[in-house]
Amino acid sequence: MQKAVAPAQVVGRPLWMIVLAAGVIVGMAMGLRQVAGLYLPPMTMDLGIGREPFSTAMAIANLTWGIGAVFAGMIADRYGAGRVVITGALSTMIGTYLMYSATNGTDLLISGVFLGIGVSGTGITSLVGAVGRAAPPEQRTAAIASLGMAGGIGGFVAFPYTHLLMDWLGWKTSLLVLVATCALMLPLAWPLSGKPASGDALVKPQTLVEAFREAFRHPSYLLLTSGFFVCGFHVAFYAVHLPAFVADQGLDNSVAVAALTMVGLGNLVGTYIAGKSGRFVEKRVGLSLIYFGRCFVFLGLLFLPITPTVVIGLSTLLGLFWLSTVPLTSSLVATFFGTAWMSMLFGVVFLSHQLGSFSGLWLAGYLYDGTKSYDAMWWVSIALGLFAGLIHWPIKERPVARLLPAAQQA
Amino acid sequence: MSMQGDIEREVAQPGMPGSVRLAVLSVAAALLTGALYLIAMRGDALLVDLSALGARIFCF
Repeated sequence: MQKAVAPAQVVGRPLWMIVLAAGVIVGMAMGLRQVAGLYLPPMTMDLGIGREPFSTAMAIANLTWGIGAVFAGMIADRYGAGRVVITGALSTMIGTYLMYSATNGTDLLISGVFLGIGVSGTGITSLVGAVGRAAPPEQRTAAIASLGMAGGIGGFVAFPYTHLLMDWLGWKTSLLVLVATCALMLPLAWPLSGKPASGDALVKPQTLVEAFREAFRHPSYLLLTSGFFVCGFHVAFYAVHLPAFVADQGLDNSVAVAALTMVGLGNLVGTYIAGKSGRFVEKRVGLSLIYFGRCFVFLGLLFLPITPTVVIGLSTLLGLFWLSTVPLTSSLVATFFGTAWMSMLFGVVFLSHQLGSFSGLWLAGYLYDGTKSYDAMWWVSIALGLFAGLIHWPIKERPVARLLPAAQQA
Repeated sequence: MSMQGDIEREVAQPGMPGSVRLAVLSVAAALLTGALYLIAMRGDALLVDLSALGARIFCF
C-alpha cells in the first residue's frame, strides 16, 4: 500500500493555505491569458500592423508556455514554486506592459515571449507539484481539482470583465490595470515558497535525468501523455470554432455565447466531480469515461437537429467533460512517480496538450476550408475521443518499483 | 504508518477555517454572478470580439 502521508511542503503552512494561494494565482494567470486576444482588434487597428504580428505573438506565447512549463516545473520541483511564481508574475507584467507600449510588430513578438514565460510560471503546471506534495495521496486529486476550478473561474470571469474594462478605460489603460492585477500574484508566492522536502527517507532521491528516463520508459505515462493530446485537440477546436458552427447552422450569435458560457460553468462542476471521483472509481476509468462522454456530445452535434436547446444542452454536457481531465491526469503522474518531479513530468504531459490544441485548430480550419462543413471535424474528434478512451483503460495505477520500499513500510 | 507520518499529516491537514471558506466562496460567487450578468448584457459584443480570436489557441 502506498505510504499514506505526504509531507507538507513547509511545516507550519496548512494545506488549505497552499491550495488557496495556488488557486488564486492559477485563476489570475488563466484569466490574464484568456483575455490577451481581446486586444487584437484595437491594437492592430491603432498600430496599423495587421493581424499577423499579433497572431504570431499569441502563437509564440502558447509555444513558449508549452515548452516553458517543463522547465518551470523542473525548477519548481527542485527549488520550490515560490521563485517560479515570482518570475512568472514579473514576466507576465513585463509582457503585458510591452503590449501597452508596443509601437510595432516586433514589440508584440517580444511581449509574446514574456507572456508565455509568465503563464508557464504561474499556471497550473508549475503549481500542481507544490499542491501535490502538500496533500496526502487520498486528498491529492481533490486538491488539484481545486486548482482546476480556480483556473476555470479565472478564465470564465476575466473575459467579460476585461471587455468592460476596455470599454470604460480604453484598451491601453486597461492593460495598465492588468499589469497592476498581475502584481497581486507576487505576495501570494510566499505560502508556496521554500525548497521542497527531500522526500521519504526510504526512497533514493532521483536526478532530473533519471526522472525523465524513468518516465519515458513507463508505458502508462506514455499512454497518459498521448491521451492528453486529444484533450487539447478537443477543447481548442470546440472553443474557437463553435461560434462559426452555430452561425453556419443559421442560429443567432447569442446561442454561441450561451453555449460557451455553459461550457465554462459545466467545467467547474465537472472538475469538482472529478476531484471527488477518486474515492469511487479509478482515475483511468474516470478519464476513459470523460473521453467517451465527449464522443456522445460530438455524435449529438452530428445527428441531432441543431436547435438552440440542443447546442446549449450538449455544450453543458461537454463542460462536465472539459478540464475535469486535469486533476485525474496530474494525479496519475504523482501515482506513478511520486511528487518529487511532479510539476516537470506533468509539464511534459501538458506540452502534449498544447500540441493537440495546435493540431485541433489547424485541422479544423483545413477541413472546413476543404469541405465547407464541420462534419469531418466532428468525426475526427469522435475517433480521437474513442482512441483516448481506449488507451487510458490499460493504464496501471500503481507506483514504480523505486517507490515500493516506502509503500511497503506504510 | 510511522508516527512521523502521522505528525506530518496533522501539521499539513488543518481544514480551512470557516471564515476563510465563507470569504472564498462569497468572492467566487460574486465574481461568477457578475460575469454572468455581464455576459447576459454584453453577449453580442463579446461574441464579436470572440470571433476575432480565431488565431488564439484556447486551452485552460
